[in-house]
Amino acid sequence: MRILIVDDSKAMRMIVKRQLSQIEDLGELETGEAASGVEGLAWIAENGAPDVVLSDWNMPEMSGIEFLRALRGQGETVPFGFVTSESQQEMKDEATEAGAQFFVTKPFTADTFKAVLADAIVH
Amino acid sequence: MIPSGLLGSSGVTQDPGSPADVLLVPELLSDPAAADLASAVIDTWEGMFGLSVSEHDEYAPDESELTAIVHISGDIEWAVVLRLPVSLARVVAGAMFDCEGSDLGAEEVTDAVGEVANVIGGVVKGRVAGHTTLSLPSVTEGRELRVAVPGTTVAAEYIGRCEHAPFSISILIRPAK
Repeated sequence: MRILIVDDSKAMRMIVKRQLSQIEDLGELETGEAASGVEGLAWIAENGAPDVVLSDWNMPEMSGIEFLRALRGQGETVPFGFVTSESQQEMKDEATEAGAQFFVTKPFTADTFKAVLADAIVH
Repeated sequence: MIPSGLLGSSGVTQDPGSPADVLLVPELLSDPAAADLASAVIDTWEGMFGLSVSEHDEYAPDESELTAIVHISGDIEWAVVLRLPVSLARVVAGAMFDCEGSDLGAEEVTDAVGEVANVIGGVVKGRVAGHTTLSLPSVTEGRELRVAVPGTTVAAEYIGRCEHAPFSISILIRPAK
C-alpha cells in the first residue's frame, strides 16, 4: 500500500511512518513524505495518487484542509485522513464536509492509531 | 525588573501589568485545568513517545534549554509554553525519531520539541469553547531564559521530570481586548 504522509514536522512523520509499519494488514508498505499541502500536491503530481493520504492540519504554505480541498478540486478521490492535534468537532465536521474519511487526534497511543487506521484503510 | 512574586516556579512570568479581571475564567484556573494539563502531558509523553514522566517540584535546569511556544487565538488568547533542557530535548527527539538523541542535528531536535508543544496546544485548544486557531510553534534555545508573553497570567502549570531532567509546561491566558 502506498501512503503519503503530509506533516510539517519531520519527527511526526517518523512517528506516523513507524506506526503504519506496525499494521500488518497494510501489506507491503511504501510511504511518501511531504512537509506541506503544496509539497503534497507536488508529490502526487509527480508520483500519482497514493492509496491513502494522511495529513496534518496546521502547516505553513498550505494547511491540511486547503490541501484536501485542492485535491478534491482536481477531482482526486484518494482516501484522506487527518492526523492532527486539532480535536474540535467543528473542524472534524469541516474535514468531513471537505471529503475527509477519518480523523486521528494527537496525542494518540499506538493502539488507538492502529485501530483507527486499520478500520479506515483496510476495511 | 520583574517582581519575583509574579514568577512561576518554572520561570515563566506573568505580565505585571495584567489587570485583575484576567482571572475571570474560573474553570481554567481550577484544579481540573491543572489535572487536564497533567493528563495531556502524560498522554503525550508516555502514550505517544513511550517516555515515563513524574511530577516534580521545581524547574531549574543547569544547562542550556529549549523553549517552545504555541499560541491559541480566539475570544481569549492562550499560549502554551514548554521548557526543557537540551539534554532532555535530545531524549524526547530520540524517542520521536526512534534513534539516539545524540545522533540528531539541532534542526531535528527543534522540530521535535516544537511538535510536543503543538500537541499539548492542541489538547488545550480542544478544551476551549468557541472558534480558535492554533499557531505553528516557535522554538528558542538559550540559557536562563526569562519567558514572558505580555498581558498573560499563568492558568495552569505542570512541572515534570523525565530521564532525571526537569521540564515545565505552562498555559497562559490573556483576555480579549
